[in-house]
Amino acid sequence: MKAKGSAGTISLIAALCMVVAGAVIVLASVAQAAEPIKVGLTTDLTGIAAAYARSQVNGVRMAIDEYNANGGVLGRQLELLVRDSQLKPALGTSHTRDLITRENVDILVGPDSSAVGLAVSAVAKQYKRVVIMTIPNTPRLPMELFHPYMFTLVPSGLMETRAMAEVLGPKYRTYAFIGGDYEASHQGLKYFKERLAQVNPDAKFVDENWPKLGEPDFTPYITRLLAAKPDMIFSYLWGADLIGFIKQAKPYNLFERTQLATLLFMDDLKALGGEMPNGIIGQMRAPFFAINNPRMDKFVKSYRARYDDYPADWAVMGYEGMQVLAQGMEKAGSTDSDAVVKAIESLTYEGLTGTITFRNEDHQGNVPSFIGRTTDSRQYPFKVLTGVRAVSAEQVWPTMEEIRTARASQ
Amino acid sequence: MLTDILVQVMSGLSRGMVLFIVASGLTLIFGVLRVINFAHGSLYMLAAYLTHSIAMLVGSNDLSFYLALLIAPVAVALLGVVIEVTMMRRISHRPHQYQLILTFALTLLIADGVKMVWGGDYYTVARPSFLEGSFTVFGQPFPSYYGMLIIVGFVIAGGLLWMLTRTRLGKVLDAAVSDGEMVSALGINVPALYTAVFAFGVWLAGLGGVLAAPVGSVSLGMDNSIIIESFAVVIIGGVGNVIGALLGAIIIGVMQSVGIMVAPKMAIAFIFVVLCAVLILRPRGLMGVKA
Repeated sequence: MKAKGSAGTISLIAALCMVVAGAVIVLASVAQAAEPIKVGLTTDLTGIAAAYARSQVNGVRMAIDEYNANGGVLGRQLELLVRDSQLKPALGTSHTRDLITRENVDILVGPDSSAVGLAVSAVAKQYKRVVIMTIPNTPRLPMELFHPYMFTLVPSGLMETRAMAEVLGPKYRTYAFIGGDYEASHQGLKYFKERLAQVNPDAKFVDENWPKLGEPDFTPYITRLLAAKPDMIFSYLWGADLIGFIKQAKPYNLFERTQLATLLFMDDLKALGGEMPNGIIGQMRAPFFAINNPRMDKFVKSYRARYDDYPADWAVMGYEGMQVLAQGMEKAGSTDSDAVVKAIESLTYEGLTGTITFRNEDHQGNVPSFIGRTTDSRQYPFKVLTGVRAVSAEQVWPTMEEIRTARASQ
Repeated sequence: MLTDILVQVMSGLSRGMVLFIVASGLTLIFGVLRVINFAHGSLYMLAAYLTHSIAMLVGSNDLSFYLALLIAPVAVALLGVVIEVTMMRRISHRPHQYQLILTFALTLLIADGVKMVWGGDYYTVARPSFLEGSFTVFGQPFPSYYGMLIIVGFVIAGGLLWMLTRTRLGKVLDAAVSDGEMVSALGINVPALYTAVFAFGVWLAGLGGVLAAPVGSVSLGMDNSIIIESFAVVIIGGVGNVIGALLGAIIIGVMQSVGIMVAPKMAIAFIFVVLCAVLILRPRGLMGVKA
């Protein structure tokens, strides 16, 4: 009786255990389903490009909130974790590693600067996490330092300068250069010259200027450029430097005496407002005002409602980058990195700037480069581009041969 | 070619003038208080941001520029008073390192404060309409605004010189530098005098900031670029000497301008070459007096 009783107790306990264990398993799986997909974004919220990073975060966050409002991705909510890498590659490395190992993020959005971009990409490679670049554009990312977990939505410096050469080359013969004295700028001029020689063999450079980054006074360079009398000045200045240059060049009548073709971002158009001269050839990454499709219209409307501002290039591309990641995970049916890589490789993404696919060999999105001339706008409180030509990626991106050579030399 | 060089010299002169205005404040503070004020460039930057804010408030027009000239330097000078009375005065008897650390800490605080208030964006400030264009010099256009800077620079230099050598205040300052206790015994409030000089030096930094704002962009990092050049000016000219500061600023401005024309790749180094030459050949500076 006693033994029987104890056997009964044991089986009862065993049965209870099973029930409890089962409940725990069920609960765990329920919890798993509800657990958010974590998105890690290390970007440079401190330093000269802080404004770009803020726009980027805005864009990414908006995309995430839209997904979450519609039930999330794979039935799970998205959660954004932002870290500030302060333009320091070492911080980019440690933040990204922390995001992956401590916070267990599933997927990453790249930073602001190219140097930090390389650092983040290296960590993503080590821990096998998919990362999408929406601002850094050093050609090294998709070329010699390529790895399969990296995707980029940005026309690389190589593509941008070649696109500029394609547009300018046939029309102008003598060129002068001005650009900050740093690596990307030197590389940019090299790529520009190479393509220019193909497009127009008669073209030649009559002057080169290398002010330091953050130069407050460009007047000596301006007078030098004017003395060289080029048909076209090709600029690799950006941000505060570009604005200083334009403001200081105006009273010298530089824009009447010669012409300027330059990288240009929404931030510059907003900062200069009516002071921006007309007729400057500007190359932008995502000028919302020059792209007409319902997706962009809807985006601009909600962006303005939410942030009381017009979206800069960085916001547009941050938003697109997050959508690419989300669509990749949905297509893969999981957050597993290798599955997501496969999914994005075959994804046709209907983005704000157009339809984008990624080339399998370098994961470069076939994003165009938008080149037009500045002009007054009746619609916006800043100058816009007119006659915008979208130079397709296929026309300027590196050939397989070039990629192989770059990777072999690595 | 010759006219190109002359225009280049003139633009160098205008560049030197903003530098002079800022550096003269720095050298004045050092000459009288013996304080090396690292935060000088930060206060210059603060005035430039205030100029932008004033333009935003009253609308970007001529009035806003005059208002900024009136308000921004005074505002940063008031901040200078607070800094002098609450901080500098407390450590005036301690070794120089304490001042260096304190004023360096201030540069970090002000830079982050500016970022908190104005954000990381860069801004531009319009030039007043009558200085918007350019006039012709040696057959080439030269920006009117730069012409104004050159004139203002010389006026300030003249004013400072007059104040320091021809007025009672100048004599009192001179005396206070050589023997503060004696001057104090003669019934002059020396601490108040120090505060006034500090505030005036900061006012000059503020004036430089307002004048520099419409030239380029108003952005973070303005503080570092001006403070380095200002120190170079002070060292080249001789610490505490206003004429020296004027000479140093003109030399640096013109050297850089003409240097960029002649040897653009080495232009960054010119300022330091001059600095080294002065330190080796004449360590007390061009106009400095032997200690």
